[in-house]
Amino acid sequence: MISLQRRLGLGIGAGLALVLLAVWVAVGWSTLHMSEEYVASRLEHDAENLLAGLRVKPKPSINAESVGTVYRRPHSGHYYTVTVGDTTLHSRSLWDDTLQVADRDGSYTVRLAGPQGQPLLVYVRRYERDGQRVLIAVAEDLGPMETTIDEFQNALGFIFVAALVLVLVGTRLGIRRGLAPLDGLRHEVERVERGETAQLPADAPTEVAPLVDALNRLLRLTAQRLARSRSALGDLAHALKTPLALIVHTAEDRDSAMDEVTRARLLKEAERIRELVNRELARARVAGAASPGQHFRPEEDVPALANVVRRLYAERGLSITWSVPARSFAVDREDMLEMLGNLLDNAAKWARSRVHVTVDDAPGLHLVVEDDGPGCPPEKLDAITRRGVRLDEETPGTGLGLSIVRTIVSDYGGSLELGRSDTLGGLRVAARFPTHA
Amino acid sequence: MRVLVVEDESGLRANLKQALKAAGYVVDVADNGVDGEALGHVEPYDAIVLDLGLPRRSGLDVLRSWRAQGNPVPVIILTARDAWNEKVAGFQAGCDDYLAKPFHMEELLARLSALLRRASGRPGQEVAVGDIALDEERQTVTTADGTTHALTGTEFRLLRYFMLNAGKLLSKSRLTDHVYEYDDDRDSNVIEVYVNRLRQKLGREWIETRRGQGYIFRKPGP
Repeated sequence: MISLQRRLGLGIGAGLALVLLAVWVAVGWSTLHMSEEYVASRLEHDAENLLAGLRVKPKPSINAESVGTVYRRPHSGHYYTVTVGDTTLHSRSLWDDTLQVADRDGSYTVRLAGPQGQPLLVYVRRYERDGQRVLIAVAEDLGPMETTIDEFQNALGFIFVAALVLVLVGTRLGIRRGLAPLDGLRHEVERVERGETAQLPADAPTEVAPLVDALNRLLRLTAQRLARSRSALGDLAHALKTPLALIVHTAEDRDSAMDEVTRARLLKEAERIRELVNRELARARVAGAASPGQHFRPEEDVPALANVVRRLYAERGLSITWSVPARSFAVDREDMLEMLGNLLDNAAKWARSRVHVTVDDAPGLHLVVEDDGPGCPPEKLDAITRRGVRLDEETPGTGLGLSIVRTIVSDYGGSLELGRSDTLGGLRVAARFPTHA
Repeated sequence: MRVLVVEDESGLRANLKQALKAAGYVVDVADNGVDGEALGHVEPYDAIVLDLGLPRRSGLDVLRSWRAQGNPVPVIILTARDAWNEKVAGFQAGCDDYLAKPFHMEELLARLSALLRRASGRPGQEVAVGDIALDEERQTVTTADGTTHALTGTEFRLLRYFMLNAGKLLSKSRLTDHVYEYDDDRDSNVIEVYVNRLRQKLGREWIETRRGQGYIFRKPGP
């Protein structure tokens, strides 16, 4: 997984750190350089004053007034050495030391270690005075200045690091804030998935709005397609079943001139067509877990279904009872009605007088239909529940008609369990759905 | 017993009409929702067979409209739309039974007959009052002494209506409505003729005449 936050953070952080480092180095270097230039120009000035105060004859001497008092205070950090011929004059500040400098034409600056190891900047210049060669070396201790520069550098470095950290934290927060609408969008998409809403809210930020629009279009399209294919299949069913009813009635009509073999064959084939149409239709009708649709509300839907089954089997005087939770489940209502309807129909066929429906929600969605009929012998239960056995391949009337139930359960990634009812003694069919409703 | 069939497919409509007639029902037909709805509002049917996918007005809307008007006529929905949510919607709209196409005519007849028995308040497998039992399939009647009498079509229709409305005062015009088809020659005097024929077969005391009002069919008092 690529983290936008890490990627942006790394990019910005590394770039900024490089720039700040370059600035820091440049500032340090140029500060030092400028300070040296400044010191050098002052030293040059002092050298000229020394020259002005220099008397070569009869004996080389320097008028003490020509230079500042700092040169007379021992180890003050300001020193000079004047060499005239064989005579060398020192500033008093130097005490016993000398400034060992090379005698070259013109002027130059050099760094030397001072009497106490201080870093000295030395300005050296050769003059001609009264036919004598004069070499003047003036030095100043750079230590205090370097200390100041170092302190400045340190302070600057600290400020830069603080700025870098601030920028990184700011970027991180900015990214998180910027991506927050996406997080919200994810929650909305999850709500759509659970079927709580059909569309995403339109009040997304400008950058995310096109994505939201595109998702909404996709959702609408999917819903439309599902509705269209469902209604198209319904229409097909209607179109096929009515002529099929006519074929059956014609074949059943005892007055029509038709021998019994033909009649039986016609009826058999018509029955096959009917089964095929019903099976495929029922299968195609299943919306599956991913489709948004109306929620399944056991509190309303189970009594409605029980009423239908009771009326369809009105002659039987069945007692259908239920225990259901007062909440809704994010599974397609039509799918659940289809499944429960088939289970109830099956139970009603076999029950002596009682059918019980249980819906509970711990965990997921759990549906149980029990009856007090003859149940199913264990060896047959084994055959039915064995993997790979297709219930719909069984002959009609002898099978349990659980094909569509199985289709729906497997579409939702659920499981189906058949057994004997402890309370009613007949068949017990339990369907479990791993719903996150 | 007078039954309305609302079905848009002409072949099936003809089959239904023929089969229902043969089973001793007086049958009216409509081929669209609007006509069906109007007939159901106006005519005193004993039961209605209703398709759902109808032109002009859907079967469910027609049914809701009847129920909204307080019309309690028993209705069997006969439709290709047999998903359970559609069945739930059908019963919620007020139907009494639901049969999916394609269907066997015997099943429709059995369900219709059961529905009429339930509507008359006498559940059970057959139509019987006192010692008299009606065989709907053979269209015969068996009396207390065990003799079975064959019935003509009109006799059967009249007797079944009497038996399913036993104890009620039935006017001649009401009997005519439920025994004759809409476009038949409806001479109410003919009812007297058939009442007399039934009295010959069952015994006079079963059908009491209330002069100027009509007839009451009931088990003779001791």
